[in-house]
Amino acid sequence: MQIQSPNILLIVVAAVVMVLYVFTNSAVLVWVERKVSAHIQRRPGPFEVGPFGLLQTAIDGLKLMAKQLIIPAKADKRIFMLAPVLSFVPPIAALLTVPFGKVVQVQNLDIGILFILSLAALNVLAILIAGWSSANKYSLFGAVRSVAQNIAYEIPLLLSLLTAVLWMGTLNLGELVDAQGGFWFVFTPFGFIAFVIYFVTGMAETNRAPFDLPEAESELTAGFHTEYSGMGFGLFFLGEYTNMILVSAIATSLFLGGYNLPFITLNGEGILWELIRVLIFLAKAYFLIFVMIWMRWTFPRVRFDQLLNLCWKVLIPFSLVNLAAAAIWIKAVGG
Amino acid sequence: MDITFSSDLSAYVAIADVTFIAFIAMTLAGGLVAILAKQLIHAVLGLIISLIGVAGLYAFLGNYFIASMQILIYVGAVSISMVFAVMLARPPEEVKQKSMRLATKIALGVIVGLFTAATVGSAVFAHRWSAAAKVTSGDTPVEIGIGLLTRNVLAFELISLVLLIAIIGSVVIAKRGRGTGKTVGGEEL
Amino acid sequence: MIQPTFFGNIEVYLLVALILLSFGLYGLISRPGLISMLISVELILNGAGLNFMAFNTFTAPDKTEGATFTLFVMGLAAAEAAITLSIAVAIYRRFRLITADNLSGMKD
Repeated sequence: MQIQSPNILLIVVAAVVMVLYVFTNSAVLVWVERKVSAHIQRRPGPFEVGPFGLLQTAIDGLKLMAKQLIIPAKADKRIFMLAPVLSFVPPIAALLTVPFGKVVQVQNLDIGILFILSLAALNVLAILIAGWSSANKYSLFGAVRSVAQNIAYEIPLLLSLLTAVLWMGTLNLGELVDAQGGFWFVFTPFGFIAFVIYFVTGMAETNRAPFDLPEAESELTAGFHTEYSGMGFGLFFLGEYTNMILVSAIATSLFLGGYNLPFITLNGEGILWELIRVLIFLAKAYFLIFVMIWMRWTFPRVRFDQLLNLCWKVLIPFSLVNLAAAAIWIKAVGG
Repeated sequence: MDITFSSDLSAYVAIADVTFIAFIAMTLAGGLVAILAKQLIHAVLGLIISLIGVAGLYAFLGNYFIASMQILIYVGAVSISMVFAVMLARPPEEVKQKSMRLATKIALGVIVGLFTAATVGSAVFAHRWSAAAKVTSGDTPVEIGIGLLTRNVLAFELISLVLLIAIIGSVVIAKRGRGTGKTVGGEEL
Repeated sequence: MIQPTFFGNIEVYLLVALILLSFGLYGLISRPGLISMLISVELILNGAGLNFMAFNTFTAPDKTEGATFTLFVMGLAAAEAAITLSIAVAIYRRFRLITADNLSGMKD
């Protein structure tokens, strides 16, 4: 094993920067969601606090932090407090391995995408123990529905990502972006189908509408986070938005060519080129998030059996056939 | 084979040692909670902590792929099924556990401890384990995949058959349970 | 050249694996419930897997063998857990309890 001396200072600074980014990202996304949803519904949205309502999120955050943390009497205290933390921390660790640029990537793991997938599995656990420890039947129902939805949708998620890994031949995220170059994976038919399937299952994994039955504001009071008040709810919220940016970042890296322009590979060295690459990556990722928000306020919520039918009867066969076809193509033509 | 590092990495090796001790503590503490907890959900959570600790130990052994698979399979699937089953089955052993007398427990603990000590003393520490010449390093998924499809292909096919039978069997068993006897409070989940 | 105090030699890993095995053994014998037994069995299987990986890293020439076998152990543990849990749920639906020693003749 060739071991170089690890640059601990760089890693610590990068981790701190990443946490700050996650907080800023959530703040911006809350504002974007409220404005976009408002304009879709033909109303102005927040416009009083700060110019265009930009400070609304900061004030809301302060309000959340000032609220009293209520723990129900019958709840299991330690597990109750653990669940929001378990929901919030793994996506941050996963974001540390995403290639925002050629150099702006904290740790380029050889098993990159597998690491991110194993951290996604911890989110399911967080929801389950949140629902269980609340000692509330609505929370339990929401948690059970959410777990059923999440573990069902993990299969087409894995299969569509597997198509990309099979095509590019590596699990390493940096190499996955470089292997696409200018010719993005979505330009191929297998990549396009895999991208659509991945996007839909990504929305289901982060419990975003139209798959947000676990949160189901009009049905189950608030699903698995009914009993959480103040910062506990805030942490779940932050975790959901961080998951959204993580899903979009992975979709950008694997399917949309990462930091490359269409048909142009950006290979320049130097800070200026790196900045351009990071900006292009963020533009693509945030466009995908805009599409997610757009879909939330356009489509009605699906019923639970429709949800599971969609997964088992439509998405899994399609992704399996897509994977097999991609494998046959690679063997026949040579990729 | 002994792992050695050059001397300018001594601070990092010390940090790695401390992290290693932390993972071992996580594994053993989780195991203790898993077998001694009174509430079943605490036992499952202890098991989860122990599994994450073992994944860390796999990473220390140099095989990050197997560490990821440990978390994906055990923590991501098996543990969640267990928590689900605990939530659905609500076993009354939480309420009144017909446990053994203290004397029986102590006797059992002593027997298991003697067994452990005998195995350790005779097999592990009395032998000097030496390394053979290295042929391949199984760190990457590529080599494991090649091995699975060339040398171990029979085991690979058999385990896919076993998993298929397990899936079909568990669906059939859980399905047949409905309709005979009462369901839990009439809920259908 | 410095040697790490703890994680450089094989005996530590074997000892931890053996302790996991004994924990699992104790839990399997002393706990009455079906799901508690499953938890203990999972501990035993993890101890075995750790043993395999330790020998794989330190003494095996072909390091894919140990990794492959550990993957098989994980797969089998998952299959066994799935079947055991569905049996537990089915038994609970029928009998309203899942302790292994008095599964017959129980009233509420």
